[in-house]
Amino acid sequence: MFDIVFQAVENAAGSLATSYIALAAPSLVLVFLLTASLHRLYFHPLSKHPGPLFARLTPLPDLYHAYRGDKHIHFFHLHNKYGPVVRLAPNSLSINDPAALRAIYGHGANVQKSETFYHAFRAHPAAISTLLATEKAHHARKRRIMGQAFSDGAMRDLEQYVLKNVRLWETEVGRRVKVAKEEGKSWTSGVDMGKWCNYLVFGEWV
Amino acid sequence: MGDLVFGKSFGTLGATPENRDAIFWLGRAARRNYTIGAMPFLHRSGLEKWIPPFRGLWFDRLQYLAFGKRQVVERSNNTSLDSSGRKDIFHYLLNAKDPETGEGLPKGELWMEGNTLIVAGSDTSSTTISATLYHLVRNTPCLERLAGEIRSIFDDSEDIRTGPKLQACTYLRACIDEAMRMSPAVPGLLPRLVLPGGLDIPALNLHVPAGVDVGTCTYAIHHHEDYVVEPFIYNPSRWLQRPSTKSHTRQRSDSGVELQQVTQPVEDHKTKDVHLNREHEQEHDALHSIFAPFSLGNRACLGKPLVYMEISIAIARLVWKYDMRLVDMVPADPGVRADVRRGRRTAGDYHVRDWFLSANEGPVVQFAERG
Repeated sequence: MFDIVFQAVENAAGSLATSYIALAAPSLVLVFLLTASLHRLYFHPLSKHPGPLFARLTPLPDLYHAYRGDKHIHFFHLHNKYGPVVRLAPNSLSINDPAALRAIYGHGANVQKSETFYHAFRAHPAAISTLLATEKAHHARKRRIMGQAFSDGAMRDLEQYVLKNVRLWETEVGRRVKVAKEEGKSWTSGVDMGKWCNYLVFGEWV
Repeated sequence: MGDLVFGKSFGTLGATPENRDAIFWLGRAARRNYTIGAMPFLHRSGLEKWIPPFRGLWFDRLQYLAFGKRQVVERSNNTSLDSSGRKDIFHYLLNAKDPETGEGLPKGELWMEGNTLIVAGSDTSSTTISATLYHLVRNTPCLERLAGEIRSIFDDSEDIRTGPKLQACTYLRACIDEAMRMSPAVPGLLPRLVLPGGLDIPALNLHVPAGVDVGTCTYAIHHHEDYVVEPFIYNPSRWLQRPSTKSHTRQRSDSGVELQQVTQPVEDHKTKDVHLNREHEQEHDALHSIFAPFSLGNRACLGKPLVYMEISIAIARLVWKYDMRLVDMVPADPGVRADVRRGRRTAGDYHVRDWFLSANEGPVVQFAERG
């Protein structure tokens, strides 16, 4: 395909054709962008829903806020500005209402997990976990297996390990309280509990 | 969580720098996935490997995937753990058989389950415990009331474990739920693809066409003014209100949450039995209608009972044994500081970065022997 194009370009070199191509290519891109924009703004099934202009045109604002890690804050403000239904990207809606919460996530809803979003998490196409399965029947199979691991009986088995790690936590606090006492202080120096909570759940004392 | 998923703590593998790095990689991997999920074209085109900010994320995610894989391979080879009768979460995955083919889970799926469990099971619990501690030490009357409850119910900290006594700690549960309302560990929007036929939401007079992604942002709805009284104030008492008397006739959804929405929570409360509402003006049904920290339905979080167990035990035991106070600190995260300055974020909130899971910092807490 490219060979043919190159050959054609070469043959036409020095002739008028080159300047035509040089003009035509950017014009085609421009025409494409214009049609796509018009479609997204006026003819797309979501075109009647409000949202920031740029978000209705491209997924770039969504990408920006995902990278920045403030999507939750961003959505909060979007809904204050635009109401319960907001078009957050050309093909996506955010709905801030309890009725929508039940309708979208409740049992029997006519939806599945978004492929656009959840496929991005997979390490390769066959690396699918229960959380990441989008296809309904596949998820149901996996969920049955995972369900056993979180049954009441399984929880009872696991409690001893939770207790073990929490005791380690207490011991660490206790040691600091003792040190403070020896220095004649009643309060320990500050402990970053954000880090300690990580140690607690990862069981990692370093 | 290493104990719970893989039958050993990651730390006992040798507290190598690599294991400490795993927590860092995990956050980076989540950020990469969340970002690419907003525009998968960057992955499909291979551009993410070449555009600088994405390239670093892409690379760190590979490290995290490799870490997860090592855990899974090591656990799969450790058959002595299975014969010892110890049942970690991976025990169930390794021994699962397809009812039709009789085959176990494919290797790729096992690997990804491991990766997911580290994130879904560890990081979210960590964020929620941190957030609960933060809100408690910042709101000392709540902490005092909680300490009163825990210390009067339990005579010894070793008694603090799953059972009727822990169940009776209603204020503890209220403190946890209120922290999850204000600082849900997965604060964003989990998108759902609408299937052929579309999705109707009659209450909003809305038809969402097939092929569109749709969702509700947990953080936004948890702070919805029409349903939550003073949504930016941490007040566990709002969870102690009883259902309105009308609710006898209401149907319950399977998650135990009221199905019907209440539209006038604020005007209504003054006329109701004053005894029910003496502590907080919050309407019970309205509050429960927006609360979804574990999501809902058949994709809801499987680890919910485990999370409540971990948090209840961790918080109750700390509070039983020690007094705590907050060391006031300005958030180290410059992005968060800028947002607070511009009024986009509320000062004093437990600030997180939303990368599907939450990147959090602090609180810094001082401890003393209980007074």
